[in-house]
Amino acid sequence: MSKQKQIGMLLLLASFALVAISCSVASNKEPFFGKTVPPERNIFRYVTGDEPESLDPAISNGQPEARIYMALYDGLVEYHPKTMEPEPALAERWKPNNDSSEFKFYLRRNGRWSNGDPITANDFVYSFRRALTKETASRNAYLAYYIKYAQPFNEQKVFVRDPQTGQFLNAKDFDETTPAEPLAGSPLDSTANAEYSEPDVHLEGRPESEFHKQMHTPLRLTLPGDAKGRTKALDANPKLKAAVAGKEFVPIKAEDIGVEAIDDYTLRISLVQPGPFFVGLLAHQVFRIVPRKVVEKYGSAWTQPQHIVTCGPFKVKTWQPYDKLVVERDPMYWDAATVKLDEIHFYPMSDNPTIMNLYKVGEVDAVLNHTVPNAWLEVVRVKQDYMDGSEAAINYVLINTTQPPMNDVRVRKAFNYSIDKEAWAKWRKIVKPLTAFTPSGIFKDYPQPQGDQFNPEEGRRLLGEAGFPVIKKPDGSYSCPKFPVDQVEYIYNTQESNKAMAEWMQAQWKQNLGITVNLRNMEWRTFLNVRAKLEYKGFSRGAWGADYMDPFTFLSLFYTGGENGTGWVDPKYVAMLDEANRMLDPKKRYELLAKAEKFLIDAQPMIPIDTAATNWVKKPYVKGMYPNAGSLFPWKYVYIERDPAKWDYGVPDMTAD
Amino acid sequence: MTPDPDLIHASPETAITEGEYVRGTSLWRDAWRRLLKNKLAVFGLVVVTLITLSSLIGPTVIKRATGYTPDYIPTSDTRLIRSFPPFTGPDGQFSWTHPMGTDNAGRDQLARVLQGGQISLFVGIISTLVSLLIGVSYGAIAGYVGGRVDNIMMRVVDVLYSLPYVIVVIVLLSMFRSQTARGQLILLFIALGSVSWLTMARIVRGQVLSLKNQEFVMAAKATGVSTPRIIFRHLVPNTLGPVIVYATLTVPQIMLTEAFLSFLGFGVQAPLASWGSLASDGIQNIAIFPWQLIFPGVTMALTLFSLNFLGDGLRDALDPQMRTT
Repeated sequence: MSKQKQIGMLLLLASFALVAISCSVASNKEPFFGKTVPPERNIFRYVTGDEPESLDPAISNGQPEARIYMALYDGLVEYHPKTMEPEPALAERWKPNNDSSEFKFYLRRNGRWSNGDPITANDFVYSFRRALTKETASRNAYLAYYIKYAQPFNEQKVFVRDPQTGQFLNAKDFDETTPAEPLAGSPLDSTANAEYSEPDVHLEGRPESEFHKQMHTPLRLTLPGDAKGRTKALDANPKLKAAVAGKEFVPIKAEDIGVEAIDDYTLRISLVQPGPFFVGLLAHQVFRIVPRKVVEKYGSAWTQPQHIVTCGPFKVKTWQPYDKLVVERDPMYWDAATVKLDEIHFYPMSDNPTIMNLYKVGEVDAVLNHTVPNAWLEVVRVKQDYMDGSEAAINYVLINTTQPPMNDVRVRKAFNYSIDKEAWAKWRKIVKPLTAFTPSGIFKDYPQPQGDQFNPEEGRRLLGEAGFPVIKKPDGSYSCPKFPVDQVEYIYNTQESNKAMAEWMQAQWKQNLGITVNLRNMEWRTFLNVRAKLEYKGFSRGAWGADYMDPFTFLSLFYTGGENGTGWVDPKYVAMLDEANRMLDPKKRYELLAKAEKFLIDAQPMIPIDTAATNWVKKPYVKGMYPNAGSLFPWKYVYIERDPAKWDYGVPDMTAD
Repeated sequence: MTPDPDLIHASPETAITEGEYVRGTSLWRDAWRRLLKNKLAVFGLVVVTLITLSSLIGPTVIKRATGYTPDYIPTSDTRLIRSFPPFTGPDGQFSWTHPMGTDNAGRDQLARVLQGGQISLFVGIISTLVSLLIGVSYGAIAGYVGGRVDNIMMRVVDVLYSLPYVIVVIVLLSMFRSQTARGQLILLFIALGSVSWLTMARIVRGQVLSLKNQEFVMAAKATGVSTPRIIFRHLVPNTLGPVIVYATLTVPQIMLTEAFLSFLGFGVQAPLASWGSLASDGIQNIAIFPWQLIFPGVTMALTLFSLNFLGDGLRDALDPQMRTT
């Protein structure tokens, strides 16, 4: 072959390759993305995300694990498959007191573990106490902090008792900011609300327990359990120090937490604050129950397939770490008749193109949320198996408000004004632009406040006002020479979509303010640490998904200054939230929450960017699975439909039945 | 040579060339002539020159012509925030605006590739200079001083050789993190340069060993020239041939390492781009937008090929003894 021929061949080969690549993705006319042949048996194959950290529901806070826990464990309530509102599970019904600070749950009597043992209220008491024990190292313990004394117990704090009188010191005597207590002033049985007037037939005539009386005494003072932390707390408050002198410290025990088994099938939970949202929270994995006998016998090895005992619609069949987890229908489950699938195969996987390719060739029947890469959307989004839907999750940018120049609210606002969120949403294709701190269109009847719209002139003006004038250069671009660029950066955890978002924000600030913010990526765990400890300067990527279907799950992020990653905390904001939560009228409560949210977005400790989208695909023959706002699926309703006429063509109807 | 009698008075110019005047030729001139005979080397030279020039002036020209800078994301017209295939406008018709298409966010790919070229060539050349500086001085000193000093210095090189250098660079880059994209770039020069001087040091040492006993060095010694002056004035210039050859081959090697590091996310930081980071972005979307990988990839491959051809040609030209033909 001559040289020219060789080159000709090369070019030919290259063009073949190009044609092949472009053909493989060319928008064909198929209604679905890839094969649509149902599996032979009633087996559902699902990619749920990374390898599960543990099969112990108390441990992990990831969504991948949450979906597995939903197959294996049951709680008092379960998420509704469409609306995510709580629906009865092991609790048949429940009853709040008149300010929603105490709940009574009536358990069903046919609840059984997978080994046949009956499920009683004591299982809940044990599981909640275990989840809150420091040694369990639950990442979700904070969700249970609404329960009375749960937080100080989890933080291993102590009560203060007078050795002479045996009286405990009360919190409100030493801290003016402690909100008014719901339980202390209320009568013991205040559930006589008209709406919930069903009498407790089986409890009538029984004396009130000592424990319950104690729950209605004023909130006790708690101090750090270690001597060093205690000294620090006492030194900060001389009045406290004087009062504590000569008193003894009593470590808070698991038995002090506000959870009580009134009898085998009645459970009472006492909260530290009014929690109208609390029942919705109980479907969360941290409130799902674990078998006491097995846990105590095998210790941390209890989740191994040969030991594990579960209580959900499915039980573990085989588990090959990093390969697959197979769960099968559990005949002991109280609602076994509803369960339609024989098995679910969970595949741990995290590379999105790989997952999509597996889906395309029909190796899996559905994939987890956020799986379709942005570039693929143009092809996949038009297909009828694409599951689009608003997610109860938001993307935002956190600001470290403790350091200059970002401690100036004008600078923070300038950066917010100069991001064109509409354009961002257009590019991201599926998300919705966001100016507030709760996702748009998720919470029905919630009067979500509006924040500032895109307005770069205003941004430049504010920045100038703060002492960093923005200069327009002759070629039309901007520059801000006085701004200390080395004092800000944008950190994000390493992932393609986060990088795209970071570069987008960087370009916006450069184009509109003339400030080039340096980007820094880091590994997930490092990132969480750096953010929580405020070891970054300027900006950090933030994303939050709802733990329960209530705006408070977002607004409570700024309830304490501790973990929100911005250093911003305002007692006024906390008071506004408390006031809202004490409202019994849901409408009034929402209005007050919205007022607090407006206060938050005006302070601008973060820059809201978008309401996320669920963004996943499922085969049309998978029925009973809906793109709900939390991407959590009660598996007992899912089934394989073999008749193409009954398949889902497009997103299934999401209106609650 | 017998002059043609008819031409003797043809013109004054020929009169000058008359006689036994032979124009002298230097080593460099010879090498240049030999280089020009090597077709592949000339091809390499032309391509490298072209890419260097277009990288230098390209981004400015594009900004003048279309208004796109390498990091400009259009947001005023939201139709433009998507990935366009080469030569396509928002209406799907032929357009000159983006000859290489755009990337995911709608940034002009040509401007990015050319800016990537700037960075890649810059990193390649500067890091090579750093490695030259260290390697040549180190090798020359070891070779000339000799004895125990030589022994120790070369064992140090052996030890450094045994370290996996990509990992060393990654460790260096993540330990000394810079706050700005520019600082990161400087760090990259230093990190890459400081690990790629080892072979250079060996080559120079070998050359110096063979040169140091020659007469001109003895003469310099005899007239009392100081040691540093002998090394840098008399010895180093004589090692230039092999040094240049090796340096030319080091540039593509470093560019490749830089691309590799940027691909992993350790190299240049956004908004700057290099061919490696462009390829890394492109490979995410290879199934949907293949041009995002093809253009930076082909440009990089072409440049590396050309630099290697040029290096080979230079070696043949500067070191006639090694020539195979």
